[in-house]
Amino acid sequence: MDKFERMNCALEHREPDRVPTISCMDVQNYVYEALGEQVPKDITQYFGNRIVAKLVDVAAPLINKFGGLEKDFLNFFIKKVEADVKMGFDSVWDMYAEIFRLKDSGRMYDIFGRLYQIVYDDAGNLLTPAYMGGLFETPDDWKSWNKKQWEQHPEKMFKHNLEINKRFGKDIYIFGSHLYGLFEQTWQPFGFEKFVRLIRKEKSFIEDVIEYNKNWYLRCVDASADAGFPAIIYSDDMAFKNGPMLNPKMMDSLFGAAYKEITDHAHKKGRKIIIHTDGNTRLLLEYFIKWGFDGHHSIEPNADNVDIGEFRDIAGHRLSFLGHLDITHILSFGTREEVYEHVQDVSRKAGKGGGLILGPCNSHYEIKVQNLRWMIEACKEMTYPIQ
Amino acid sequence: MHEALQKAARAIVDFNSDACIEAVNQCLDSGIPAWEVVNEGLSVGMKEVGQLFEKGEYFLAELVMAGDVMKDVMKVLEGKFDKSQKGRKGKVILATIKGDVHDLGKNIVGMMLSASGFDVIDLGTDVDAEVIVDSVKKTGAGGVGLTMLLTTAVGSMKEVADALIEAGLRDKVKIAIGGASTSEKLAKDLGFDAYGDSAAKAASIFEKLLEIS
Ligand code: B12
Repeated sequence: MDKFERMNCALEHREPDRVPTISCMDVQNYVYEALGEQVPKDITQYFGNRIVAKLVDVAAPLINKFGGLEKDFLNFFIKKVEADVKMGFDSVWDMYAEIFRLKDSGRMYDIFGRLYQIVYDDAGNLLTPAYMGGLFETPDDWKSWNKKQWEQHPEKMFKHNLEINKRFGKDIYIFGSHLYGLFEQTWQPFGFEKFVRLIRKEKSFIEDVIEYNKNWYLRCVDASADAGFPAIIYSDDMAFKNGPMLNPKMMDSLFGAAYKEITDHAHKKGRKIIIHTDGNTRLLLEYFIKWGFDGHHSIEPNADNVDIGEFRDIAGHRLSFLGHLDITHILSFGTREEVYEHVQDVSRKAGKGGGLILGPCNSHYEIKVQNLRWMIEACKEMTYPIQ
Repeated sequence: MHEALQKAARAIVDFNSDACIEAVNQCLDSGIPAWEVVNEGLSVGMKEVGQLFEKGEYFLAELVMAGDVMKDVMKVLEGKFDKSQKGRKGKVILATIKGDVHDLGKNIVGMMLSASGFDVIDLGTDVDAEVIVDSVKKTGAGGVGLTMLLTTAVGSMKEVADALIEAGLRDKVKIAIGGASTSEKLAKDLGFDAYGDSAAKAASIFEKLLEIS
């Protein structure tokens, strides 16, 4: 089987030749080590210097105006897929996230109204900025926010996806994706407490925001499908380690219809759509199915109450499972034997009848290229029928 | 329990600010003092919300909603505590300790203390031990009240105790603690001077500690 037959087979819950793999890695040290290249310097690496930092604090708007980090980001996304191809993954979660702008030398904001801290790995490479809070206090802040770049975003995403598909579409099965989903896009620009307060006091405003975000997201689905990507990962973190952030019933009543519209839209375009969220999602599985998702990514093995065998018992073959491999120890510090054992164990628990695609459950800079190579090898040996 | 107190508790569990404010006004009209409304009505509702959260019936959003109702209601109650005594009894610093952002209980303690004549310096939530030490130095406050609701924040409590000793200030201030995960035993173990299980007691605790008659 080639990668495409293998992936299609697994996603359709038929048994492929072996367990397929997926990469969700988006950290620089992995990408450039996998490619055998040096991590390129970007301007953020000079922010530790006091004088540079002072200059950036003043000149941030100007830097943004002249494209800021856009080129670096776009180039990185291309390198990322190239690295996954070179590693031999069957599929890649290709995340489009050209949304960050400099606020000052320590912070970024995004075009949707979030504020972030600029963070680096141990070697000083820029990591995905860490969410600090929202820029909006009131509904009026949201309404008056300049949404020009927000509105232009799906078109830019489409062009970028076309480029990725042209370069790598024959070499690897690509899941198109936007960094944020509706739930995150609705609460994060306000912060959680303000968002909840708005649900209670200005529900119709929140419903308007969800409607706007949903219509906008449909264009992101198009940006992946029309560029030729065979499937989509809908990324929308909605659970903590110990369970959902919102009562699942509340989640359903606020977001359910919009999610259904998104999955229907993807299906009309002939694309499977997988929902990604971290955390303990046990109570959400039935809702994922109800909302029309074909699969679930992450299934964080270290979240409370997450056992992929039990998840399979709950969801049966109504959802495919993607990711799930442990990154806190096994893919970061584990031995070859531990990696093999983990892949075998998970495959036996949840791989029968297809519907299982393995990979790191999340991206993290501690994950080792060597461990990922072992993981890919182990999956190559995990042939069907699974013993 | 008075029916209106029950109604107020119920309205917290249902996240209904209007119903809660109405019930609170009924309580006040029938002569129940503000501190009793907090203790016997609102706090009872909050406890039930906590239990529902523990059982997995309520989620984080529901905690926020209940907290939010409480805030709405406290705006109504604030003016009902007697303020004529303000500042007469000396200074007390209040803080929710590092790692913990629960502040509703602390704010009520603050209201009660100022109503009974203390000058309250509220340092807010998630407060570093050094900030508390600095504030003791700067203000010369005789009392410190610490709030903690998360069991996991107990290390921060100890840090405050250690930091005050290190700064040579421990015998200059009296420290009382309170909040859902504190206890008489914890206060003893950490060498603090008092534990209070309700804001209503806060004033008498500090009066005793600071020897105010
Ligand atoms: C509302 C609430 C929240 C709100 C807080 C809003 C706010 N601005 O304060 C929000 C949503 C933010 C929240 C967040 C979290 N919460 Co919470 N929360 C609660 C809840 C339901 C009520 C707390 C409250 O306000 N009670 C009402 C006030 C009036 O009571 P009080 O604080 O105890 O104060 C009174 C007395 O203790 C005393 N007192 C207080 N301080 C002092 C000080 C002195 C000196 C004295 C004398 C007296 C005194 O007087 C007060 C008035 O009578 C409790 C449940 C509970 N049983 O307490 C959970 C609870 C405290 N939360 C809990 C948890 C787990 C969390 C989260 C970790 C949830 C999450 N997964 O994110 C986060 C933690 C965030 C953080 N870093 O702090 C757990 C803690 C478990 C534990 N033992 O560690 C509880 C117990 C719920 C539960 N049953 O599981 N929470």
